[in-house]
Amino acid sequence: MVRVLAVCGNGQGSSMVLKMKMGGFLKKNNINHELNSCAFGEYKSMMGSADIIVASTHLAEDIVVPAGKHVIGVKNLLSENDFGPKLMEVIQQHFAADLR
Amino acid sequence: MTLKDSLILHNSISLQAEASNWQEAVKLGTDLLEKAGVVDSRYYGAILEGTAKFGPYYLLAPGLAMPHGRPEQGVLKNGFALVTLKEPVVFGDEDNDPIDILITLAAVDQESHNVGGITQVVNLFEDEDNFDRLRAARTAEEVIALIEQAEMAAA
Repeated sequence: MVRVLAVCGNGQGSSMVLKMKMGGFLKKNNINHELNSCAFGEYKSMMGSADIIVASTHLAEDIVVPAGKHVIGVKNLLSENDFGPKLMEVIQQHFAADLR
Repeated sequence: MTLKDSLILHNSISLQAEASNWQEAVKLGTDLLEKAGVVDSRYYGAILEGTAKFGPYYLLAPGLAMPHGRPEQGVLKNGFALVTLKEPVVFGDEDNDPIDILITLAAVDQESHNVGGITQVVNLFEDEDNFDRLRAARTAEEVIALIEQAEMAAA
């Protein structure tokens, strides 16, 4: 199961929107996943239970992850055309087992 | 609380408003919420501070912002305000500027209404034509009707 974490400035607005949009997308694409959201200040403590961290582009630049984990920067949080291909690329390359 | 219920209850829609910069645009929304007793006067400053710290992380899409602070920064109740601007303003985010639709969010905790309320925000913009329909709206009733239609489409 691929674990996706949506991160935003304070963990209750944009990250929630992103979480909802990605949830719909991952479900539609039959990807075995788990989704969470948090504030920027919390991502380090949440990282242990995440494989892919997704945030708006300017926040994504400041997110550092260890090897084996991935960061995706999104411009338009409401557009599947923006986060969708980026998410699928990482999943196909690193989490192919979760594609059903 | 849902987006629609909050906008009606708190009388927090302002259309074709005027702001000369992003700070003024944010204040239009927080003023509506303050007047309705949803937030206190700290909330506006908290959003400005958050923006200084993280950048305008609440820009959701080209033209659309969802400014918000944290629950402990002056939120008294759950609620939303919706503002459209006559002339757009720039937040300093090349991906999404200029902005002329602002949905200000206030939440007493991280979960609360946001499941229902944010779902309605997401549903409203599922149809990309609703960006322009909101820009064209001149009455609160038109905005409420758009939200209702989006809910029916999503159901």
